[in-house]
Amino acid sequence: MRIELPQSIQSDGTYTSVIPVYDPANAVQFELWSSTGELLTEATLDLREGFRASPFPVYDRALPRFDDRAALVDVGRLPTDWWGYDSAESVWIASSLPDEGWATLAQWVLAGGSLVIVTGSDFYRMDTSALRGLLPIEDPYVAVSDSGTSYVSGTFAMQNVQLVAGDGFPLLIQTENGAGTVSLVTVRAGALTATELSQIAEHVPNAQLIRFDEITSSLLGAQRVATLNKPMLLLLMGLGIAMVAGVTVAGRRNPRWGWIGIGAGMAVITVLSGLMANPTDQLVGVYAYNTDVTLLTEVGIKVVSSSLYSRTDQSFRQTYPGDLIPNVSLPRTLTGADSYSAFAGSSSSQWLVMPGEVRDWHAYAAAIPLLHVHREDAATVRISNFHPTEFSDAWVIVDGYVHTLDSLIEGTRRYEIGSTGTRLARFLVESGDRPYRSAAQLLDNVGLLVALEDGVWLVASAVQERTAEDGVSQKVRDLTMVIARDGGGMYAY
Amino acid sequence: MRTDSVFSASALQAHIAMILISGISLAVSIQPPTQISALRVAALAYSPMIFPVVTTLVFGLFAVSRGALLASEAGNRLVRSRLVLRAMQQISFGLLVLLPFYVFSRALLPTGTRGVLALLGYSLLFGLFACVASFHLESHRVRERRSAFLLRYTFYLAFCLIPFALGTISESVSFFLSLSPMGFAIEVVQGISAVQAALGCVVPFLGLIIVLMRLQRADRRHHAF
Repeated sequence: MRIELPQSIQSDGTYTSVIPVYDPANAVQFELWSSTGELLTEATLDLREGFRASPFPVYDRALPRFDDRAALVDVGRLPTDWWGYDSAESVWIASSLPDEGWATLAQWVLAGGSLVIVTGSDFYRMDTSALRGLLPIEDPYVAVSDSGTSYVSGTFAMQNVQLVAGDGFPLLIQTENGAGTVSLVTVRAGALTATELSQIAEHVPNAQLIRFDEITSSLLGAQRVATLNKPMLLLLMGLGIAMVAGVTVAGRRNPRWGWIGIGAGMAVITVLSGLMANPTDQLVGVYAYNTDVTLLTEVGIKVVSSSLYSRTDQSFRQTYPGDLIPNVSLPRTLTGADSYSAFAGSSSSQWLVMPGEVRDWHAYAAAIPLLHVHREDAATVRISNFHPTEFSDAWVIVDGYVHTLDSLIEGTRRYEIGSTGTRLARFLVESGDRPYRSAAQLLDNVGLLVALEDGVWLVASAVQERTAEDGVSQKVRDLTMVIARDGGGMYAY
Repeated sequence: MRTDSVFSASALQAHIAMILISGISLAVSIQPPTQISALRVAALAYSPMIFPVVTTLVFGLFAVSRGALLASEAGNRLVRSRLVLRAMQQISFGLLVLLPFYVFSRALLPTGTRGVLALLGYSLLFGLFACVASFHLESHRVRERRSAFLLRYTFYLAFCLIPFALGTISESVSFFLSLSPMGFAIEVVQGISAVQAALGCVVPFLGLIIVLMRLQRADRRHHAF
């Protein structure tokens, strides 16, 4: 894997990046090269000891280790990219963090992470606007129970209370946030025993990051391959046999006429066969389907999934926009039943796949908020669109009712959405024979993970078809979807 | 009436058989116009290699049979120049019959028009060699009033299989693949290099020269008698 570092970080001296490492059976070698091709430094890391085969909880060092599987980390060394928490089952924080740290965790939660915030009497020391945006309570304050225990309280829905302390105050308050969950333990870490923490942990769901591999693979699978017309081939065979029989009869009487006949006849059939078989349609070596979903709330995330089907045994390059590090959905290694090679870089991958095989990968990234929606009144929304994609379809979902926009133009303007909409579930069912069928299928998948029925959401999508010639001819379909929530707040990314 | 003509009944049978076999192999090479999800399981069954390999081998068999027919009907009466002309007629006619399939297959071969031209050129040279070599083997046996059926087809099989088997032993001797008609067809699909193409044509070309020189000596002996 080769990643090009931006110019700005060269003066900083520090560079952090999250790189997927598969089955670190061998030591991983890192090399830093200059732009002139000079090897500046290198290091070899043996990752076998730290490797874990399954997700694990991550605890702030301020917490006691109540689960042997847990990794204890200094909050100052937490990942700066949200997908760095990919292998975490849950993340428990009991210390103050800078806004960037909370924003990264908020992105991870939006993508399906499970964050546990442990705070009580020390709440004001941790308090920031970014933290408040994450808490499952509003207007938080520190209260004291009858027995003198300090705990965090505020405004919250009673159904969000998962555990109640012996004193009767809520001990664990939990709410869904995006595709993830935020849990608030209302007393400080030092006031809890390992046994109590274990009991709380039983109520904390595991992180399940959103991925659209399956729907992307399904959308690819629904595509038809361009192929030659077999009935036309049958016609060619019939014409050929008739022609040969005819010229044989003619040639027996006069060989000259036989030769003229076969020459002229075969010329006609050959031209016909050339017209029937157009190589520009049929010589497609790779079919690829890419879905690019951007989810914008107070923070923004991007989930890119790709599925490719190979008809060739030749090596080809797959390029993707921006700095993405693909996480390849690998077949089980060392089975001997599968053969492939992939060389992944930050802007393209080089593939060598057996004909007839499918490969999937997904990548995570931060999202820049280039689309913003705000509901001004019951029938009007204001939308700011600075996204480079020319969206073909756009909908506004208000409390579970879908309003279709005629168009979504660049810039900021008001849109009338009307007073009646279609129920989201009905809209998705009725999209089966519409041009935006694939977008609706993807939206259906997003809706399973994110509560699109609550609040105001803007959904914009575009499907683009293109051909690429990176090694072999490729037919690529890109489905771009941006889903923005009327948050009214500032975005962090 | 000349019965060895390209317009004879036996030639018609051979041409129709060739059209059928090549057409079927081409049909087997074509994936059905179905969804990708339905192709994931057995896509290898529709390999674009099937058509060029089968057609090249069948064309070789056709050339061998036409060469034997020329020998059995003309015997030693054919001088070398007439033989080459007759062989050229047979091979050209056979290739003309297959030309629509080659053009049709252009949309299947990753190497496109270049691959089709390479296959056509090779088939012409290889067919001519197989036809003349078969004539040579058969005409010897005709003089001895015996058939060379086993001999010529054993020769053909050996020519196809031995270099192919040698080429698959290891990567260092893979150049043997190009020497076999089967290997040549496979390499055309995979993207044959100029060196491989030249190597593939060397054996039929040299073989053709050697057979023609031997036939020239036989012609001289015949005239001396």
